[in-house]
Order: sequence, then structure tokens, then C-alpha cells
Amino acid sequence: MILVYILLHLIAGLGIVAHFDAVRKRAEVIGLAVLTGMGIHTLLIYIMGLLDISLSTGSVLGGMIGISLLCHIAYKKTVSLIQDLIKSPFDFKIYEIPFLIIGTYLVYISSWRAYYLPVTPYDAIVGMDMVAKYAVKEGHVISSAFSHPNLSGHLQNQMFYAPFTTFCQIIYRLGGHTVGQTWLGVVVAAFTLWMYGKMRSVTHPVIAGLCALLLMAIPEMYAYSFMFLTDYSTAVFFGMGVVYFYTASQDNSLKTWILSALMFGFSIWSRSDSAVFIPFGCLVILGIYRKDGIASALTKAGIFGGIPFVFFALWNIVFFQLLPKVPENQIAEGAGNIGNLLATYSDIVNKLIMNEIYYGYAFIILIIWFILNLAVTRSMKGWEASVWILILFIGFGLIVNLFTAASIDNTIKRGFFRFFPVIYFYIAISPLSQKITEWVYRFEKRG
Amino acid sequence: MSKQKNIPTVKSRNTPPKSESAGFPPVVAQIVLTIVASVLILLIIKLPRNQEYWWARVSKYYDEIPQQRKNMNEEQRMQSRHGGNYMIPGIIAKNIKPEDIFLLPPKAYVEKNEKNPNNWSNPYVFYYMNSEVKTCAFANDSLRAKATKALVYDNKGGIQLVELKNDSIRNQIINMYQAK
Repeated sequence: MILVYILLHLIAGLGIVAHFDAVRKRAEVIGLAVLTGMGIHTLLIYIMGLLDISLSTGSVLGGMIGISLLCHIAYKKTVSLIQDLIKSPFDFKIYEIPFLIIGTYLVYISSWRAYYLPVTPYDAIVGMDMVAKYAVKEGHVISSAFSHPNLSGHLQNQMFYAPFTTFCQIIYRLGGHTVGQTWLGVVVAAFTLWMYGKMRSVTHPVIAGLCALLLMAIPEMYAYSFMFLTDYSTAVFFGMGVVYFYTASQDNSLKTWILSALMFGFSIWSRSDSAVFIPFGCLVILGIYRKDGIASALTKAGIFGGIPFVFFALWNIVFFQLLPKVPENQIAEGAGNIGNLLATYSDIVNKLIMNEIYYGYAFIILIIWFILNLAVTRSMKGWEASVWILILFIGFGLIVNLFTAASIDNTIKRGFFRFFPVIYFYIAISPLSQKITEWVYRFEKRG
Repeated sequence: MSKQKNIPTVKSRNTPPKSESAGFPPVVAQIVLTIVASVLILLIIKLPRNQEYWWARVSKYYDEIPQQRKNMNEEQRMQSRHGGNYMIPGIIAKNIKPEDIFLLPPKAYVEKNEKNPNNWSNPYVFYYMNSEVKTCAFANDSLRAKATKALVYDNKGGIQLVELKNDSIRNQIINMYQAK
């Protein structure tokens, strides 16, 4: 069944990706299509929940097939995309083999553990997987997990987390994977392929491979590549959103802005607190297009802010109306206190950024690379991507201060995963990396 | 509308044009880059933090796979991963009548009596592991009076189900749960 699901994700995603001309590289298309297809299929479960349509293996599989076909309503675009993919030369180089071997090894271990190990994190057991388990058992998204007398008098916020991971778990549980979090292996494999493919299209494959490997070597992030929580998925979509944000700022295509907004939307669909970062993105867009007139700037910023807001509202406003109970207001007292905010930033630096166990060398590499890049090239090119590192830092401080349930030791520790695709993509597109790329290609051409 | 900028791309570079200079064959450059890539990969793996916090774990996970492949039984996978969190609700479910209401002990009592404290007595964790048993949380004062079964640990760390036949036994159990 897992192969059928992956195929359906791919088919659905191809129908969406075909609309975006900025995506035409083979690995990038496949990775993006699978992840987009997963997102589309979770929207199917959402609609089934909204309309209280009974969940069963047959109804969900039938719905997935139907929605996958519906994604190809503009089938000529899909045909054109597939023709482009077939025509594009296969330019795999032998020096990519070591990266292929190590990447396959890491993805294999991660996918195996996601498949084999039962759901373990406390947050998933009392939250997302609880909802998924009883939705499958009882055939309805809104199940006894929300209302059983055994749980009266208690409220676990985790049950109300944004639904991407929960709905993926519902799909795969219905497919017979009742133990584990098999879908997470699919996310990891598709993201790794996409990340390598995307970076390979902007820098030399050796640099792309090293960046991809360093991304996978982040201890805490790798650990959650096979443990069911919302953080890995939200980081994946967030990273993709930033990458297409940068791409859109370069190609000035409205479609690419929509793609970026869609990825940020799925990031919010995975974890609602991603919404905190969106207004900053809107401000950056207004800055980029200020010279083109207010109408152009507002249109792009509006699309960029609007699509993620729809995802936020679909869950936190629309679906919450149907639930028998919802979490209480979680805005912390003293949320606007500047002293608290500064203390939070200080804590974030001391507890997380300087922590060697959680994130390995990621922040050290970023700082060294940033300084080296400025010293050697004196260029800030690629700032449209690197600005998101600053936005993330500012946003995490706000999250800790705004929400009672947010803590540096848990929420932000794993929320930090959003940094890493951004950091390594920035390194890949940085002027220094471009200089090295040119140098290495000159070396190759000497042959 | 701004003009399209030059996006860093290696589209044209991926297939380097044939050289006009008489250097080494292209395959030699590729082999050199393969060696460089392999050395850099090894270097990344061998860096102290990566070696200790990441690669050592990855290797261990890989070594575990053959053993895991031999044990695909879902029940056993749940048991080995969740231990008491999975097994205790199962034992209770097997030894309780459908009409019974089981009083979940407070976390502190479980922690005091288990070598590897579990959180099976959390109402959500219990319900996730087993939904057949009617439970009431210890913190729920109003429901406590309706509980008909409870659990106590013996001196060896084993568990026993106790019938809460009357208020006297119920209060005795509650006092035991609350004792520090």
C-alpha cells in the first residue's frame, strides 16, 4: 500500500507543480511533487472531517485517487512538464556517487525506524496520534478522543495541533500501517531528494552534496526524522517556502510567489506557530517591490500573506467550530514586556544556539561562512534567503513570549529545525559558494 | 515590474564544454572530485560533535535493523518500545469487568514504585494504549467516589488490582496514593 500512496502523492503533486515554471529539474520536481501531493491528500481528510464523511481504507483511497486525478484538470501543463523532464539530459556525475551512497544509507535508516518503531513521543501519543488512532478506529475525524468521559476534565493542547501530521497518520494507518509513522519516511526521502536537487541547480553538486549531508547530520533534527512530531514536517515546508521565496525574488514571477506562499501554508498546516513569521515575509516583499509601485508590492505581499492565512483559518477557525472542546486562549500575560523579550533572546542564544549537542556545527558553519563570504566577496547577494535566519530568530522570541504553552526547552528547541534548510540553502547560493563553484567547474573543464 | 535577475544556476555548467586546452581527460577531473568528495564526507563524519552525537547513533541504528527484521510482531514492537506504558493498561484491561471504573493512580505514586517510571496513569496515555477500560483520573475528586478498582504495587515492584468495595478501602488507597 505504501507504494500506491507514494505514487498517488506523486501524481497529485505533479498536477500542482506543473503550474510552476520555476520547477523543472527532475529531482526537485519529484521531491516537491511527493510533498505537495501529501499536503493535498491531507486536505482530502480535512474535507472528509468537515463533511463528516466516513473514513475507511476504501473511501480514503478512492478520494485520494479522485483528488489526484482532479489535480490534472489542466492536463496539458502536466504533459508539458513530463515532456520537459524526459527531454532534460541525465547529467549525473561520478563524484555524486559518494553522496548518493551516504544519503541512501541515512534515508534508509531513518525510513526504516519511522516504519518499524511505534509512535513514541509523549506529545504524539496524547495528541496527534491519539486523534489519528481513534479517527481510524471509529471512522470519523472527530472521534471519542475529543469527548470520551475518561478524558473529561483534562485538555491536552497537542490534540489541537495543526493537522498535516495527524492526517498523514490517518491515511497510513488506514493503509495498514497501524504501528509506526511510515509517512514520515516518505517526507524525509522526498525532502532529501528535493533539497539536493534544488541545491544542485544553484551550485556545484559537490557543494550541494556537502550542504545536504551537513543538514542531515544535525543530531536533533535527524532524531526527529523518524519520530512523530510536527516539527520536522513544518521545517521541511518552511525551508521550501524560503527557497521559493528567494527564487520568486529573483524571477519576479507571481506564480513562484504563489508556490512560496503555498509551501508556507503547508508549514502552517503542519504547525500553526509558523504563522508568526509570515508578516515579516510580507514586509520583506514590500521592501523588495517598493520601487515598482504600491499596487505591485501589495499584490505580492497580499498573496504571500493570504494563502498561509487560509491554511491557518481552515484549521484554527473553521475546524475548531466543529470540535466539542477547543484550547483556551493561550496568549501569555505580559506578552508585550520588552524586558522579558530580551531575556528570552538571551536564553535562546545561551541554551540553543551555543548548544553543541542539539545542532552540531550548524550555527558555527553559518557564522564562519557568513564572515568568510563578506571578507572574500564583499557581497550580500542572496539576502532574500538569509534574511529569514534573522526573521526566525526574532519570531522564536515572540513565540516564547506570546504563547503560554511555548517553551525554549521544547517548542523552540525543535522549532529551530526551520533554521537549517534555510542556513544550508543560503550557503549554497552565497556569492562565496558561487565563486567556488566557478573555480571547480573551471578545474573540470581543463580536462 | 522589476526585471528578472540572474538566478544562480548551473544549468549551463553541468555539462562543461569540451576543453580547448590540452589538459587531463575529463574523467580524471571527475575522479579527483570523487576522491575530494569522499574525503570531505569522511571529515564531516569524523568531526568530534558529529561522531559523538550523530554518527555513533546512526551506526547503532543500522546494527539494530537485522534484529528488528526478525521481530515484526506489532504487539512485541509496542511492548519493547513502550514497556509498562503499554503493558500495564493491557493487564488491567484483562483483569477488569466492563462495568468497573478504574482509579488511575497519581504520577508521584507510580514514580515512587517503578524502577523506570512510566506515565501510563496519565488519562490520555492510558486511553491511547487501551480504550476498553473505564477510568477516572486521581485528580478528579467527584468521580473518585465511583471508582471500583485500583492498583497497588507490592514490595517486589509487582502490581495487584484492588477492589474498592467500600469507602474505607477507597480512603485507604487514596491515602496510600497521597503518602509522600
